[in-house]
Amino acid sequence: MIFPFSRYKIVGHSMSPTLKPGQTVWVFQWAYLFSKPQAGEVVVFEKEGKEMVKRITEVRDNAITVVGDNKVDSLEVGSVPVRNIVGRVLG
Amino acid sequence: MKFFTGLFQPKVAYAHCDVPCGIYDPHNAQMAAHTVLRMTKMIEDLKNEDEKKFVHQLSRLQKVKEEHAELLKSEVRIIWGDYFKAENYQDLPLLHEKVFKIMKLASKVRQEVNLEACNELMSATLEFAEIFYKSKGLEPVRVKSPYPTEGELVIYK
Repeated sequence: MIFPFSRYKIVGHSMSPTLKPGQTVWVFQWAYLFSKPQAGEVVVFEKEGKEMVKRITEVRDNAITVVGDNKVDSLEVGSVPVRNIVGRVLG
Repeated sequence: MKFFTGLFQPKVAYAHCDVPCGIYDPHNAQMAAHTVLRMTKMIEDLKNEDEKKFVHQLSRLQKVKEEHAELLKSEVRIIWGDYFKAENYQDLPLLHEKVFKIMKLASKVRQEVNLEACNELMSATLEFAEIFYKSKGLEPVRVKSPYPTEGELVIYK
């Protein structure tokens, strides 16, 4: 996490129409160094060795619950430890 | 410059659970088929009275037609590739043939302004939706769509 920003290409439909497949986004990796994640924010996080992008629906002490915007194509991934968040999607 | 380009090469962020989650729906493919049909009809109805307006509107219609034909292909590919399993293929021998037909027709409707091909694509997409619902043990039913195309949609009982 040397650099505050990194770029990600979206693969899949679970965040449509907010993020479309093939779209490139910037991710602010220092977003939660001094503040806590908030419900409604779109984040990239690591889950079972893969980096995924979803929207936060709930924030608890050390974990978040995330879900995709496209309910047709998305499963609630469930609880994700805050330490597994890569960063917040900008824009 | 190369250093910075390399530094910010995009990584992949998956916007699908890929568990696989088992949540698949042919509705988006059907909507895309309706959109392609609608765009094609609108292109055919365009009147070239003002060249600038004509070119502008044609560009917009063409763009949406292209995008939705590609979206249709993508939606069908995901269901075909991720949802259907080998046991489905034995029960549904027409599946590959239907998907292949959809891929070819979706390309054809991009390449041409062809209402006949659009209607064929619509039929094939509805039949694909019926195959999908049947594979889940659901009874598919065709209803009149609420869209200006006045075509049908496949849902299930």
